[in-house]
Amino acid sequence: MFKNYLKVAFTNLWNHKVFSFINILGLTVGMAACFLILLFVQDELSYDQYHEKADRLYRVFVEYKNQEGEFVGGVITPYILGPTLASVFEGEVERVIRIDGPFSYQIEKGDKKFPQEGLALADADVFDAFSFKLIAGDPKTALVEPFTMVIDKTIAEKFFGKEDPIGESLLIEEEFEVKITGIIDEIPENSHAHFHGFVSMASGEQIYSERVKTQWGEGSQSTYLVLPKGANAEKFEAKLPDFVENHTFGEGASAFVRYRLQKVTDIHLHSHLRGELEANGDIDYIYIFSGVALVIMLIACINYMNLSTARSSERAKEVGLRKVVGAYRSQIITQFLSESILLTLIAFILAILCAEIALPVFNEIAQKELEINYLENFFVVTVFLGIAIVIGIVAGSYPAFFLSSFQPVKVLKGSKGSSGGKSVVLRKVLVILQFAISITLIISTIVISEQLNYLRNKKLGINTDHIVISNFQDTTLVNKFPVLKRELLKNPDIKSITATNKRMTRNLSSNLGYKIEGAEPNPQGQDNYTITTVTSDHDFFKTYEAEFVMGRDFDETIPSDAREGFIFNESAIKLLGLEDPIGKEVESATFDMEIMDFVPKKGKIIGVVKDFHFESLDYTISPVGFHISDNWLNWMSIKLAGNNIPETVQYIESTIKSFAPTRPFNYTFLDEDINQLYQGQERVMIIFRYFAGLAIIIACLGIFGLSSFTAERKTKEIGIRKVLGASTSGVTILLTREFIKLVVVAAVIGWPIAYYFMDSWLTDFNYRIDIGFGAFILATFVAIFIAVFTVSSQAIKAALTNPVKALRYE
Amino acid sequence: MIDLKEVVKIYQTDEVETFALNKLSLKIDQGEFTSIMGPSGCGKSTLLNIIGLIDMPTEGTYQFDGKIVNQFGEKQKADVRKENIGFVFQNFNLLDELPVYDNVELPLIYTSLSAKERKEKVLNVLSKLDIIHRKKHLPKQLSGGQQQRVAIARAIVNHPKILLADEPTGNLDSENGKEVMKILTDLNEEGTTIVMVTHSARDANYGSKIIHLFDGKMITENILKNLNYV
Ligand SMILES: Nc1ncnc2c1ncn2[C@@H]1O[C@H](COP(=O)(O)OP(=O)(O)OP(=O)(O)O)[C@@H](O)[C@H]1O
Ligand SMILES: [Mg+2]
Repeated sequence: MFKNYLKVAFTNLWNHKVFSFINILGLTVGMAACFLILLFVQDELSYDQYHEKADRLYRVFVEYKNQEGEFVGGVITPYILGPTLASVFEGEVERVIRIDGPFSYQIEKGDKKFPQEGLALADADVFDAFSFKLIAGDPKTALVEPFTMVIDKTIAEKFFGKEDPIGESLLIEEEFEVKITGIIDEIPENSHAHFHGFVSMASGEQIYSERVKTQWGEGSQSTYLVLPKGANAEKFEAKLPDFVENHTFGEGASAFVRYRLQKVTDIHLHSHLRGELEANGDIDYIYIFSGVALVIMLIACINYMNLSTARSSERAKEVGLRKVVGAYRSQIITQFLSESILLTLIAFILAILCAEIALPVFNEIAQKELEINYLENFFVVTVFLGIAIVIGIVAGSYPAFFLSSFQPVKVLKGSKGSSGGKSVVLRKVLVILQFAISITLIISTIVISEQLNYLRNKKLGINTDHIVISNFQDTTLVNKFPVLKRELLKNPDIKSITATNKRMTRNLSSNLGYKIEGAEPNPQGQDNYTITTVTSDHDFFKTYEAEFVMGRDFDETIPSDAREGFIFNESAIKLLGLEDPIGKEVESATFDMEIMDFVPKKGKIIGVVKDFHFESLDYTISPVGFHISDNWLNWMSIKLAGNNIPETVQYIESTIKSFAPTRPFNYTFLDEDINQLYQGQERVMIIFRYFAGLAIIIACLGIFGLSSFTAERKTKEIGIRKVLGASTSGVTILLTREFIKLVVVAAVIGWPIAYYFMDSWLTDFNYRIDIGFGAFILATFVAIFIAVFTVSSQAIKAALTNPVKALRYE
Repeated sequence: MIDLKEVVKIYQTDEVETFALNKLSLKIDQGEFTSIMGPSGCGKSTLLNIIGLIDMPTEGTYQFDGKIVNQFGEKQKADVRKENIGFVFQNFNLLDELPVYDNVELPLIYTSLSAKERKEKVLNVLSKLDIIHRKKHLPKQLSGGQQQRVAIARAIVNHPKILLADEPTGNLDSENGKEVMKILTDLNEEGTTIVMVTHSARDANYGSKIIHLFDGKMITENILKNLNYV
């Protein structure tokens, strides 16, 4: 019997090619999209799951209360946090691992010399906590000794080729010789951080200053914990406030500083702290993409239901007859389900093919290395297949139950069976649903693009055009900076040069204490404030073209500026509550690279600069204090005039080389840097746009099919109307109007849904657009246009039919 | 084998109630050839549908083969139809998309017969009705008479005890009509009970018994004469 079902199913698919084509195409595209999204989501969810101890591996992060009284979380923790936790909670934690990095260091071996990214210092137990695969070396001892290093395969090949690197040594930063004690495999793509090599933390113990090693406000470590089996992380976390009081900053500190735990497996999708080691994903996007996948499948299923029930009059006779000759209703249901399952299985195979073809493009956009691995990843394929069958059942069940309910007496009367009042209404409802979804997607696409454009075009408040950023890399060049600067400025294509301690667009982190004359007491009632500090030479504000609201810029002709000039941004002045800031006395500190320690710095406020974004637009502008330093400088910003750019960059390189011949010259253009900040969001946007487009195309396929059935069914009506004198255009409008009505109803439904989703999406942004009415109107017109375009071809075809022929045909 | 007692069939539409059958009682024995006649709308098709268990009486009882079938569920009715009843319609009701062979095979699909047994039965009946050379054709490629023969083949392929025919010759010319009537008489001679609705007195005379319906009731020859109908 089943063979017969299949045969009938095939015959039916074959005999109704338009119907089958539309359905298979819709389902194929829908399923292919779903597969890709499923792969993407599966990959995103798999981050850091490969660690054997993933279920009890945590990262300790810190939260500081800012001046607004909010806790702001960050990844960076003190050097001594790890050992202190280990000793205070002995027995309650299994392992504590500090990782300091990733850094970019220069590595050399003989005549080979490269800058290498992704290097870090790590505690010896790092391979116990994280399941990084060691190809060579002993995971237990590799990083115990000072100046030992574990490198990954790529570095090993780069420096040692086919030779065995174990026991060999590398020179780091022209200063530290390290012995290779192990080789790791590349760290898997699905990790929250991708290190290429680890130097033992025992080396850090020898390199770091006493300050870094002992102060709670110092250090740049990420701290990870492995809790013992069965331990309760929440209970552990609850003990940390006491820990803060008793072992760190002292009594009362827990009101301002909190240490908290997060699962390492949660980092990629759930963590958005300051100083994340890499740009993370976002669980929101997982929800959005899963939603879009569901919606695409839903639309494809609706197509199947609509087209099947629209065809019901054709199949009513068949159902009636089968029943007359003794078929059970269940058998008829089975037959219709086999048809839909057959259809989805065909679509499934095609979808796998399509997904394979689209995968490279998708990977390119999503910046992933996904692949469908049929044998290894049997699970995914089974899930795909299961999904296909479920879709077949879902899409097929309504037509199956609807059609199998036909009574033979009614449908065999000779006249064609009715297509059923109820099913017509349902069909309309489903078309409205499809269009409501499509309109929601169009509106979302518009709003998301607008927001991302807004972010990209929002003025940082400074001019970032044609600025080359380069790292000093060591103090020798810093000391030569004034001479270097003079030399560089000889080139007329270089307009201005400045040096800063912090890099533009990167996180600001140096929070120093300030006491300022005339400032309001802080929320704790004391007169000191913690304010982010940026140090520079005299030309910072000139180079970046910042605007002053009060006072003046640093001036080289006024010698006291370097010694005691302070400039604050508006946010800082507001925080301090200063009415008349110029000339007020300031007591703070600066960092002296010579002695590697903070030294007090006193002076006066000479200017107030208009707020601008030093960090990315993901953060609100924080209060910043600026002062001049001649050695707390790490980054050069070189403003070019904008012509002869390649030659000018060449000139910069050769000039710097003449000052520091062994230094590799690294540089980036700030503009490109800024674009990169939004690349993640941009990618998501592009993916979203593609899938929204697909959803809309599938919906259109559906109404295309539906309208061709409508046109066919109305051939007689059209014939009569034409005989009675209706024009072709009149008839076209008649057929199209019905669908436009549906689209308008769909718009009314789609608007609030889109508004709700987009409004909640936008709340995550510090700087957001207001959702304009324009997007809604535009989306609706787009939908109407698409509907009219799709339907009218069928309508015109029907309207052009010779009425005599049409009438005879009935 | 068919025993209808005071069967009433009411069709309820928006405002009107139509008594398609009105307290009709009827017995048909095995092997009989019954013709049903009457003006349009008198309830002939309704009666046939009730006999064939694809419609249910509103009132009255219907015994088929000694069993009261009024309370039968869909499945039980389907079983009775499958095993006992074949249908032939005025408009043939062939499935346009399936070739002759598949159309005839249709009732066998729902039995437990093996593919081989099915094939044997289908080929048998096709040669018996002399359309075996058309087995691969689609219905629209056949003449009306051929189509009706296919329909009859489908109705008898599973050797039903009863063949119900609703104006089997209604859409055929007299030549083809005669041929169909010959097939039906042959079947009757082989033992199949036949109930046939017809408008043609000539065709009705092939039957061993003629029933006249008028407004949902069976009427006697006398009244008929008074009505000047025959
Ligand atoms: N599904 C239905 N709903 C409402 N009324 C119906 C229905 N089917 C039949 N009728 C009515 O019941 C009566 C009997 O119909 P039936 O089809 O049995 O007549 P008939 O004798 O077969 O007529 P014809 O010779 O034209 O085929 C008619 O008045 C018809 O209008
Ligand atoms: Mg009739």
